[in-house]
This record gives sequence, C-alpha cells and structure tokens, in this order.
Amino acid sequence: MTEQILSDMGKREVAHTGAEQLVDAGTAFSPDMDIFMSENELLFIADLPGVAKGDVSIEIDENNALLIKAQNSLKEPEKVILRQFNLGNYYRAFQIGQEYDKDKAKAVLENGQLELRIPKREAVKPKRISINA
Amino acid sequence: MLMNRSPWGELHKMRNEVDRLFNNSFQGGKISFPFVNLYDTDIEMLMQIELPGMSKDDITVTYVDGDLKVAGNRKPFSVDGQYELIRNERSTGAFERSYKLPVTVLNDRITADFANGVLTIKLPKAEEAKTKKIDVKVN
Repeated sequence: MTEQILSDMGKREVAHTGAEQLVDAGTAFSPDMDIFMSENELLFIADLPGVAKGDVSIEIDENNALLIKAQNSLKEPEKVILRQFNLGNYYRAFQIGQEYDKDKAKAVLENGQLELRIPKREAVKPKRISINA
Repeated sequence: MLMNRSPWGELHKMRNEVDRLFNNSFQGGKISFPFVNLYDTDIEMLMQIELPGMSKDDITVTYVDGDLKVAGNRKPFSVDGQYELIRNERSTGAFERSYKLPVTVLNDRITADFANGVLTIKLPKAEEAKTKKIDVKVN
C-alpha cells in the first residue's frame, strides 16, 4: 500500500491507494507516524521501537516514492505471559509530491523515533518580496 | 503482508480483559499506550515496554510489595514554526501501569534499561520461584 502526500495544485491530503508495492517487504508492521507539513517542508515522525541506529533504511526514488524500512533488533524469550505488541520489521511507503527535493532530505533516529525532513525545491518555496517604498 | 502491530487491533475489549489479569490498579478508560510484553524465563521475569521518542529521564519505575509500577509522560512531537499536522497516529500523554507479578522476585536485583525506545525491566526470580526440574521415576 502506498500513501500519497501531495501538496501541489492546492491539494493537501494524505490518501491511500491500493498499489501493491510489498513485493520484497515480507511480513512487516506499519509504524505509527505523525506527518507535518509547512510551506517549506514535509516532516515525518515514525515510531520505530527496537530499531538501532544503522538498522533503518530510507529510500526516495526518482519519482519521489518514499520507502521506510527498519529492522527490529529486539529478541524475545519463548515463554510469553502477556503480549501487547509483536516484534518484527517495519515498512511504510508514501508517494510524495514532485515539489519536494529528495536530495535534500535529512533523517535522525533517536530513542526509537525517526525524524525525516524533506524540503521543498527552492524554486517552489514561497518567497517574500519586499516592497520598495 | 502488512499488519497492525498490535495483534488485538481494534479489539480493545479483548486487550482490556488481558490487561485486567495483570493490572490491578488501572481504573477504567481504554488501554492503548504503551504496549507491554511480559516474558518468563527460568531465572527471571522480563518486561519490555515500547516508549519510542521518550528519554529515560521521563520514565519512572518502582517496585513496592510485589507491585511493579511504570509511569511517564510522552509529549507530542513539538515542531518549531508553522506546521499543519496532516497525519496523527502516534499516541501521547501521561500513563501509569501497575503489575502484580505472579512470582516472588529479588527486589534488590531488579534492573531497568532504556534502549532504542524500549524499556526493558529484568526481575530476577527468588530461588523458590525458579523453574525446577523434578525427576520422576517411572517404574
């Protein structure tokens, strides 16, 4: 499943599409995410508990298809008394608008929380034009 | 196949039932955050709690008279500047969970570690609570 984030043409929406892109994902869990949008960038916050630095991969292809994959390093003993979460890898895919500049994307993983920022291309960023008196 | 991470999914009722078995102090409301796994090894009880984005200073763990308490406050991600929140799936807020452990543990040897957004609490069992193998003679 790929989710679309498009802000061009005045649209501000996150829509689900049914595209099957899970060919190599295997069994994976969809991490909880918050997504913020400003006039300059998209900001993704993903909960990736159990993921160590270096075990997360973020790919953005030439069509701005964003793929977040992460490997959970937690191991579990056999005998389970109470289970409220499953251990496994994480996978999430988005289609983001062409106005975002994948080459300037930056990400930080800290305490199992991923922070990914993808700025807009300079050409489409709003510009303040000063008025000369 | 892509799945929701909680095997209970929308079945909050079912989760509440399970929680009630282990949680003596929670009074009403739905339990959705944080998620807790509890394991039993031969030598210890092992609890893992998912608290991504928190730091260890925001979490307190206490153990009194057989009651293990974990409390904290997970704040919403704070943005700097003008942002519109277009997707909000992450749970936030204050929480307190209390568990009565099914076995006697060595309270002076309990350890808690926080790594990669997961709190791991190790509760070594008292000698009498350890799994013992008993050889039964079969004639």
